[in-house]
Amino acid sequence: MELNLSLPHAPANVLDKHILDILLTSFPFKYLKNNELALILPYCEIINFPQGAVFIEQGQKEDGLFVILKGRALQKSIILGHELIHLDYLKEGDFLCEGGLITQAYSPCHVICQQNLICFKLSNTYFELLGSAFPNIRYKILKGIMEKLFLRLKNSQNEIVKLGAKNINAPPSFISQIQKIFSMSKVPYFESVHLTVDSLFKILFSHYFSEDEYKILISHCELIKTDPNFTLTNQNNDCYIIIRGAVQANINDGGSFIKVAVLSIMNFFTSLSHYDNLLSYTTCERSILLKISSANCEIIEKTNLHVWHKIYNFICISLIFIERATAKLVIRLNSENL
Amino acid sequence: MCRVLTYLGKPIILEDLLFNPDNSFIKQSYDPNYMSYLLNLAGFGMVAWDSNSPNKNLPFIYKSDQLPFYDENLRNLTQKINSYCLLTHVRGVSYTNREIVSRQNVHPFLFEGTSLALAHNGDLYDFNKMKIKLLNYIDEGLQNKIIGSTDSEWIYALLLSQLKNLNGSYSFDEIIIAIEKTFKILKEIRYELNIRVTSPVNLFLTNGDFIAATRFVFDFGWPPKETSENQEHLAYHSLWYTFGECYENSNNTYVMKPGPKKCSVIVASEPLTNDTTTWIEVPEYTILIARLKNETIEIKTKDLNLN
Repeated sequence: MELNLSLPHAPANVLDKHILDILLTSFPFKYLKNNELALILPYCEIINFPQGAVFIEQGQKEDGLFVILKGRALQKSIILGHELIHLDYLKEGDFLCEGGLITQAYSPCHVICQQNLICFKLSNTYFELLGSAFPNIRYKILKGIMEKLFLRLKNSQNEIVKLGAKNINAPPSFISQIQKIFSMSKVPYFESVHLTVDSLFKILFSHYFSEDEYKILISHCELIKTDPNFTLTNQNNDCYIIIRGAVQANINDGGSFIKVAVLSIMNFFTSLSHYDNLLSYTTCERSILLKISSANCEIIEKTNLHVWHKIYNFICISLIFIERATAKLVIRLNSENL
Repeated sequence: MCRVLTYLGKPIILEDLLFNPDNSFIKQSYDPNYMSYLLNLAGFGMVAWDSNSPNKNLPFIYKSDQLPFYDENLRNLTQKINSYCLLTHVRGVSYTNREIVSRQNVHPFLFEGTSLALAHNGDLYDFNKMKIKLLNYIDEGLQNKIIGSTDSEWIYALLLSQLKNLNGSYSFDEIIIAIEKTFKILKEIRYELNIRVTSPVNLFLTNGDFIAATRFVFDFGWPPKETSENQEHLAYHSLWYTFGECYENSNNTYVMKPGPKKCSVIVASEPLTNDTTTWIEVPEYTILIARLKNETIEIKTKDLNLN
């Protein structure tokens, strides 16, 4: 299939097959088919950075996803005025600044071009528009990015343990209630928080879901009320939504865990069990959560794809937050060794 | 929603903390980078120790309910005071005539007869209901010293009541235990009165020998029923720190200079510069405490888990 490419700022023949192969094997685009990539190419850019240029500064707001097509860049973190090299060189196929695509995110490090760098850029604006025009493409891009984020978390886990972070064995809470949400007609009343299913929609979900979408979501949920220090076991890729209270995300370290981040209201979170139970979650306050079992997640994905896309978007936002918090923890631990 | 800053280390002209950096402490009173839904216009206060001043164990104390950015006297003072330890606070309250803006309500609080000062960034929900029960835990001699209407002053009196002596030096553990006891009492009283609403308690303490700060919220994630659309005030209150050799102007920006000796530390609600790369966020539910030992800053952090 011939691709009609006319990218602004790009030399006419820059997107040869080799470049397209790089894109299709990079994490963000690995799940796209050729024709899906072709749909978005006209709205993307090829940008050149000269050797020595600062690609992005630590703390700078991220603007657009970049995939390296050619060249090499170095990631450096500045910690209390000291330079620390955290990662190996970024090379072709690697991506960065993904956080800015779906949430306000700031670069955790400096990136400096070691060689002339050619990058493929997908802007935040266009990525947002993809949600309306080609939501499935947007979803696939996010899926690819999330896979890489888990790998980064895995590396961070090793570094955090090596740096000697304090780990905690939390005592399990023995009191928790699991209450199923029945049909909307029964309108269960969450007495302790003066919430009904309707009011929950008005104060929390209406900003992000239509009423119909919310009904689909809520009909696949269970309500969980927990005490503090309750560890949510997650062998099955269940998804949780925080309605009240707060949950601490942890990096697992053998039988104990290391605190990384605190998630609050309207955070959706999960962990992928095939990543060796990398993450665990413990309530740090008494909490009320909605749980979507992994089976129900699959049902929503099969029967109401647009709702699943929204849920997945929220999961990604939380994961980016956790990944950035992990990077901050590494910085803090390194600062203690300076 | 209040901004607080505390400093310990090499003597520094106060202007270099309060006025000169691009996100200076005084600028945070009218244009904070964080929690910007509420300006901090209800008073400015500071306690600052200068070892070259007479009665060097007594700090300079300055408190005013006026706007600090218009305060010429304050500016002049900060150009003259060379302090090794500072605690300063700008007060932010909601825009209603129910709030009392007065010098008596300006932090930091420093009762006569003690060397320990406290400032608070936060708000105990339904605090007025707690007062009677709190009296049971506050030493009688301290009850009479409370003259303002803030929850912060009561927290201060409660914390002092957990210490064996009101003067002299304290070990890290003594301070941590006093803070934990204070928080446990507050939690217990809240529980008895069924007050289960988000209430941030970022405390800042110093006596000139050490500085301590907490990043903590009671019942985080439990907004009041009457919550408005603005959720920013329900976010976990920020707390940052930086440490190194000295805080100074370098290439037109203020930065904690790295060096072989770490002898200065700043703990603050937000960084003093828009560039935050030389600052570190304090984790949630944490106590941080620092002191100078053999001309080097020693820092300890501890998780605050009251459950």
